[in-house]
Amino acid sequence: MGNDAIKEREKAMTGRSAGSGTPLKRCRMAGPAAFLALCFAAMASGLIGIAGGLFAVSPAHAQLKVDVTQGMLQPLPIAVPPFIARRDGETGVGELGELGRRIADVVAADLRRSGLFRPLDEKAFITLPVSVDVRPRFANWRAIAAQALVVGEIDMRPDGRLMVEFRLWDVPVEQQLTGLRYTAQPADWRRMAHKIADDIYERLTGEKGYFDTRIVYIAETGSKLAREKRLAIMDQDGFNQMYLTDGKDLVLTPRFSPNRQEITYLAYYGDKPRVYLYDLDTGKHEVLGDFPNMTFAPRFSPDGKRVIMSLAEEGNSDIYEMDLQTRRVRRLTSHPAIDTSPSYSPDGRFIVFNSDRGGSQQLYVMRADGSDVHRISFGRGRYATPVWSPRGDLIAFTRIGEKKFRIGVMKPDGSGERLLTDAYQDEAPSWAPNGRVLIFFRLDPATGSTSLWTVDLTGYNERRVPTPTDASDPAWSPLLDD
Amino acid sequence: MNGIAMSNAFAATGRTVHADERRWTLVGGGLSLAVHLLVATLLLAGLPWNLTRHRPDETVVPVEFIEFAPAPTVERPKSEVVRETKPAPPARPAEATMPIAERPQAGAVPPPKPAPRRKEEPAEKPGPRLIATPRAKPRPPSRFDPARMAALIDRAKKTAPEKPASAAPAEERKASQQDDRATRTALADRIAKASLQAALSAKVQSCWIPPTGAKGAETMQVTLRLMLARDGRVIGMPRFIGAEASRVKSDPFYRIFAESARRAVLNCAPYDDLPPALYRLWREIDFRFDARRMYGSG
Repeated sequence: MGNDAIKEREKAMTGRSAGSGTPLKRCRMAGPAAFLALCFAAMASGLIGIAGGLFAVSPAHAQLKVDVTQGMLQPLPIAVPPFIARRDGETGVGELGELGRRIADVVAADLRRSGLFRPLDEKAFITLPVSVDVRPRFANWRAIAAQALVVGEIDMRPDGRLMVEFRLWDVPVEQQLTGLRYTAQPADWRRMAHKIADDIYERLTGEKGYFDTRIVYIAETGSKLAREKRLAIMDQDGFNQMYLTDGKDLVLTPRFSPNRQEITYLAYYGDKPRVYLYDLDTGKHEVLGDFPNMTFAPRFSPDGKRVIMSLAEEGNSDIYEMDLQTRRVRRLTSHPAIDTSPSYSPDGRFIVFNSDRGGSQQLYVMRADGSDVHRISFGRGRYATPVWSPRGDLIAFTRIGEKKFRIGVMKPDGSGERLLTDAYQDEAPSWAPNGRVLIFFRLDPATGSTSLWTVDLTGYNERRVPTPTDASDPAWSPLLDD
Repeated sequence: MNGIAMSNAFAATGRTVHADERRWTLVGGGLSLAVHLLVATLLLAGLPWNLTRHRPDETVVPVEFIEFAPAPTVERPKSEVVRETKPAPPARPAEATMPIAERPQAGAVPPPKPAPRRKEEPAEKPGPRLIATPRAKPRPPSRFDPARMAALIDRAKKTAPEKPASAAPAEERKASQQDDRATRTALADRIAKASLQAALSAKVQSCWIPPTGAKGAETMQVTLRLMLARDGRVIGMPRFIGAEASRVKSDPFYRIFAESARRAVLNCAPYDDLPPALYRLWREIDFRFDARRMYGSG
């Protein structure tokens, strides 16, 4: 009987997948007919026990209504078998078959780190897929409780480029969810894997992924007194580490442009901090403006055309904005208190910043022109480094109090405050481009060493990002290609 | 709710059978007691399960949907990645050749012929290459205790059919006899239905992995209609019904939510642990998935 069920479903599937737009309709046509036939057969054979006949008289309310109000809150089991190599061959970054395995590993690792997926152990796989164009044996994937299956294939193009294609299957429904093909230089195989992970993430969560991204941070080496700080950049998963400065100058607070491969950061020139702009494609550094005073806490506007920052004068600091094209500067706050750490809302209409104008350091929101300043933080302790989520719905911050530095989020009106971390000293949150995950740095009080961590908005999925040295002040890039 | 429905049923009976009214009230009392016991049993049996299976403090965060750019071609000088949308299952020539297409796979790997059977008891029969099971927990359906459910339903059944035998004194008229039977059957059905509903709800929620944090998930609900064969197989593909069904196509977050529900009802198949005698009650089931209580008002 079980056998029949499978066949039946497979037949239904076969009919459906031909035209992607009509699956449900077709099912609707076929379903009731089959159902009725069976139903009458059942009636004819005679229902056992009570009142079979009586019920045949009134079959109107046939459906049993069942409410399901709870589910299993757990990561989705997904199978990512090694991508199939179409032939034997050397790619320049490894043998084709081996590369197929590594790509699957990178995809699985990305998905696992998100906390939303549970890639299944390859040892459990009953069969391996043979081709991306062959329908998987769903029974074998159901048997290991896979809910989704990724079947991928890789090949070398005659022009020396690597082609990677994949299909994502819904295992219980036996239906393709998405299928894409990428071609790139073999050296970019990790990026292709990250893109595939982004596609899978998006198709199964409804949100854009964040795996094809990079993180810029401050790499710290040397003793506590002679600390060397270099600007460093790496892939979101800690691979492809690169240093962008030589460590001679002290660098701080790097920030990514939200839509360009550009970084703004702070570097000391002599004893004076200055805001710099770094173009990742050309490798060019330049000073932003030539101010007579200190500038710090730079951050890009959402359109990437302006930089907002603090400018200090005689023990006071206010918020300024600079147009990157014209280099014209506009003053936004003018208050005897210290106003700093400004961050734009993604629509560019508001700015959140911190100020001690109320007596202690708190978060304030104002319009982009500097009007309508109002305080939004009212919890215990001080608040620092506010960052507006790229999704606009939350502001992340560092809360200092109860002898701890903790990362939290609140709505832009100050409501719904939640702390996501609870270690000794966590600081400087930066959002992943989809606004679901934050990266920050953590100081270990015992050793004094710093490391990078990510946490998602549930607060449960906290993970360390591997770096070769101590690391602080991370900033997440936008998705690499839009 | 049961109480109200029941009293209506008795009102109907009362119109025709005056003499029996009192005894019926007694029987009704007994039945009502039985129903309450059932509900209590279900609650008691269900509650600890709920407590251990769910993390109540799992917070879910609303997210904003960002438009999916369709297959952009990348023009980056240094690291060029070209992305093409892959057409839907292409090299699948004809529906009928499906098994043939599968054959090469069978050549590459020892063909697990008993596969179809295994589908029914996945947890018990590991496949030939199954060296380690990644699943720490048993497969969800195993948590569901069909024996317990059958017991409940049996009890409900007995309550109904046994009564007519004892409650058939000579003075009864034929017409009223039929009426009684109908009433009692309806009552037994309601009890049986309640048991089925509770059991099926528990079963399917152990098969449901709802998407966490999908935007607006706390307001979503979706109804899936399932047709079942007598042996518990799902006939055809479960379909989305009701007013919200159209959102599956228009709202990407809703689609993700609805798809998770469809996976759940199929994960739980076959429904071969339902009492065959009550097939007419469960041959067509509407599962309504409602995330509102689970996610709370986050």
